Amino acid sequence: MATAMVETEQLTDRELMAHLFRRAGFGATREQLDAALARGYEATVEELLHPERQPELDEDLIFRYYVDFHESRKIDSAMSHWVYRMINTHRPLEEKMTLFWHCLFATGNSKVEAPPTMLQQIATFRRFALGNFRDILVDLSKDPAMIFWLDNNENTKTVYNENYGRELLELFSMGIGNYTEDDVKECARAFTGWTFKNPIPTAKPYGRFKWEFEFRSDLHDDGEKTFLGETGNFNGEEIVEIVVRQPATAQFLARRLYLFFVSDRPDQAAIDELAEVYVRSGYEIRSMLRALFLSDYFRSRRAYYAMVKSPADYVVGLLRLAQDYRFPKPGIYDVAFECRYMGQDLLNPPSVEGWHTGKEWIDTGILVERVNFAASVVTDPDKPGIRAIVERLRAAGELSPEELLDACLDAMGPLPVRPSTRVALLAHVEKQGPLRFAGEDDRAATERVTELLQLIGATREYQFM
Amino acid sequence: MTVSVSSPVRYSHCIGFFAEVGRGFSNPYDLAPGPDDLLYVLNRSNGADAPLGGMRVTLCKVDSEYLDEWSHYGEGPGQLVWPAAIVLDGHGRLWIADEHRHDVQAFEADGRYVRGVGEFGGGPGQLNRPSGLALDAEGSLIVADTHNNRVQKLSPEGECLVSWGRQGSGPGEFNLPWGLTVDRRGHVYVADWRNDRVQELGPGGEPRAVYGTDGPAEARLRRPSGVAVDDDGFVYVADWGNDRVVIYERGGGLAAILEGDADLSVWAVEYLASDAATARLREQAAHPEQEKRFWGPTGIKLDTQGRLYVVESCRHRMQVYQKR
Repeated sequence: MATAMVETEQLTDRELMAHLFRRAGFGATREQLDAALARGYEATVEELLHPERQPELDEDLIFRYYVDFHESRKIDSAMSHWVYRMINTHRPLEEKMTLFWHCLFATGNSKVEAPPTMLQQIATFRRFALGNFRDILVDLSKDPAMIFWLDNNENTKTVYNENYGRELLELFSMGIGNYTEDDVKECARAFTGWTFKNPIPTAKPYGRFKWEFEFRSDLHDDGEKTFLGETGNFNGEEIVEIVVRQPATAQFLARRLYLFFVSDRPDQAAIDELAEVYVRSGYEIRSMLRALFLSDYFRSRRAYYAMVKSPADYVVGLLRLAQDYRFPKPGIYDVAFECRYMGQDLLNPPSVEGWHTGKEWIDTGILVERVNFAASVVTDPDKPGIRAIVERLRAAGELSPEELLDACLDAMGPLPVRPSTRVALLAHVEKQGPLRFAGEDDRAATERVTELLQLIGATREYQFM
Repeated sequence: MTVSVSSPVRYSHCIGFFAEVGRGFSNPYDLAPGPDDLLYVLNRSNGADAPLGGMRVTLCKVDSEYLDEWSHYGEGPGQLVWPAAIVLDGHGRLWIADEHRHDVQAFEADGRYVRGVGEFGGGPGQLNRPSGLALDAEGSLIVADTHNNRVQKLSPEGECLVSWGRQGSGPGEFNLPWGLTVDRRGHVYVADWRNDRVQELGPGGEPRAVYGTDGPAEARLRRPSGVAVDDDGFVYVADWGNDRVVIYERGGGLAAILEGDADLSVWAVEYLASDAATARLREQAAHPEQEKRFWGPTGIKLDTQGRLYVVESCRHRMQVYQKR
C-alpha cells in the first residue's frame, strides 16, 4: 500500500482547529476555537466523535415558537427546521454526518411529497450518523421516504421492482462494476414486501401523518437466492450483511468520506487506509472518522482550504460566525432558502445521485448570490458574532491598515489569501489609514470593519473551506 | 379517547380544517368565546402562509358557521407577527398578545385597531415575548410575560399594577410560562411551561397549589401550554408536550385524561364532498384513529355554556367538549 500524500509544512494549532471545525461541522466562533485549543486537537476530535456527550437541541423550545416546524406540513418548513438545527447544534459532527448521508442517500420531496416523512428520514440519518454501516443500510432500507423514492413499495414477489435493489448496490454501497445484473435481481427479490403504510394519506383536512415501515410477508419472496456468490433464502438484512463485507463497499464508503471531508481530489492511498479501518472496526463509521481526522493527510496544508464550500456550509457557517438565529425568531425561511438559491435545495436533491460538488457548486450567478448573502450577514453589527468582532478590534486600540486586515482575516477564518488578494484588500484599507474607535458607538469605525468583512466574504478564498 | 371513569366533560364536535385564508384555520393557537356562540379564533399561521393571509383572527360560530376574518401579518399597529393568546373583555374588545412584537393589542369586535400596550423590556409594564392572557374581574390584563419569567397585571392603559415571579423552579417562580387563566375567586393559574407544572397563585400572587408534578405517572405534565378552570374547581390543562388534556380536581387529584376524539368537522365534510380524489385516498388510511388524537394542543378555554374548547395548533381545528 502506498503512503498517503501530505505536504511537509504544518498548520498552526489555530489553523488546524479551525480547519477541523469547518470540515467536521459548520465552523466555529473565536470563543469556541479558544476553548477547543485549550483542550487540544485529539481531545476535540474525540469530543466531536461522541455527540451523545453534548446536549441535544431543545426541540420543545423550537416547536413552541416555530409551530410550522412542529407540523412540517410544507417542505419549506422542514428545510428551515433542518437549517435551524445546523446553526444551533451542540453536536456539529452529528449534523454534518446527517448532511453527508442526505447527500449520499439522496431522497427528494419532489417525488415523496411528504415533508414529515422526509424529516423522519433526516432524523434517522442523525440517529445513526456515526454508527455501524450495516445498521445504517438496514435502517435505510426500512425508511418510508426511501422506499417510496425508489419504488420498493411496488416490489413484490409477483411483480419485482429492481429500482431500490439496484441503487443500493450502485449508489449506496459498492459502486457500478462490482456486481452483476443477476445480483441486482436477487437483491431486489430479497427486499420484496419491504413497504410502508400511511396512517392517513391526505394533507386535507387536518394535516399530514408520518408514514411507517411495514414488512408484508405475504408480498415477500422467501425463495432461495444467489447473491454475490452466496446462496440462501435471503431477506433484506442478510443481503445487507453480505454487502457490507465486500471490499468494494469498503472502498466506496472510504472514497465518499474522503471526498466529503478531505478534498475534492481523491488520494487512493488515503482511501485505502480508511477502507482498512472500515474492515478492521467491523464497519464502524466513528472509527473511520477518527482515523480521518487524526491522519496526516487531513491535517496537511494540502487539505487546508482545498474544498469549495457547499451552500449549506456557506450559509450555516456565516450564520454561526454571526451567531444569528441562536433563538427562534421570524425570518428563518429567508436564510434557509439561501441554500436553495445557491444550488443546494435541501430535502430536494436533483436526482438519486445527489448534488455535483466541488467547483460545480459555483457559477457566476451563484457567486453573486453568495457574495450578497455574506454581505447581508457581516455588515450587520447588531448580530452578536459581528458585534463581538467589532468589540475585539475596538479593545485592541489603534490598528494600522495591515493590523486591521490581519485581524479581520483572522476573524473570518483564519483565512489565508493570495498575495494579489492581500494587495487589493490592503489598498482599500489604506485609503482611510489606521483604525481608531472614537467611543463605544463609533459608527464610522464600525462600518469600516464590517465593510472589510464584506470584502473578505467576496474573495475567491472565502468560497473555500 | 377519554381515559377516565368520571370525566366532567364529554366530546361534542370538532370545528375547523386547514385553510390559508377564509373559512378554516392556519395553525390556530387560541380562541376567545364571545356572546351568542361566537368564537374568535387566533391563527398563528407560519412563516410561509402568514404574509399571504394565514395570519388572522377568524370569526365563526360554535355550529361552524363562518362569519368573517380580520387583521393580518405585519409589524404595524393592528397587525400580528407571532400572536399567542386572545381574550375578550367586558367592553367587547379583543386583546391579543404577540411574542414577536412584545405587546398586547386591543381591537374592536369588528377588527378595528384600538391601541397597544407594552414594549420590549424587563421593566414594569414592559414585556418580553408575552404569550398568555387573561382578564380579572376588574378588567385588568393578566399577562404571562414569558421571557421575563413573571406574571404582570396591567391596566387597560398598560400601567403595571403588580408583578409576580422570577426565573426559577421554586414556588412562585417560573420558567418560560405560557397560558394562564383566573378563576372566580381571583386565583391565577399559570402553565409554567418549562417547569412542567401548573401553578395556582392566590389573589395576591402567593403560591397556593401545584398541578402536574406528582401523583401517578399519567398525572404528570410535560410542557403544559394552557389552562382553564370551571366553577366546580376542575382544572383543565393543555398538556402540549404529551399531546393530551389532563383534568384535575381542585387540589390536584387526577380526574380524567383526554387524548382527543375528533371526527370530521362540518367544513371537512363539505370539503371532502367536493374533492372525490382526496375522499377516495382517505379510504386507504392505515390508522384512521390517529386523526382523532390531539396534536400540539395550545389554547384551552371554557365558555358560559359549559363548553370546553381545545385548540390544536398542528391540526388546524378545535375539539369541543361539553360539561356533563
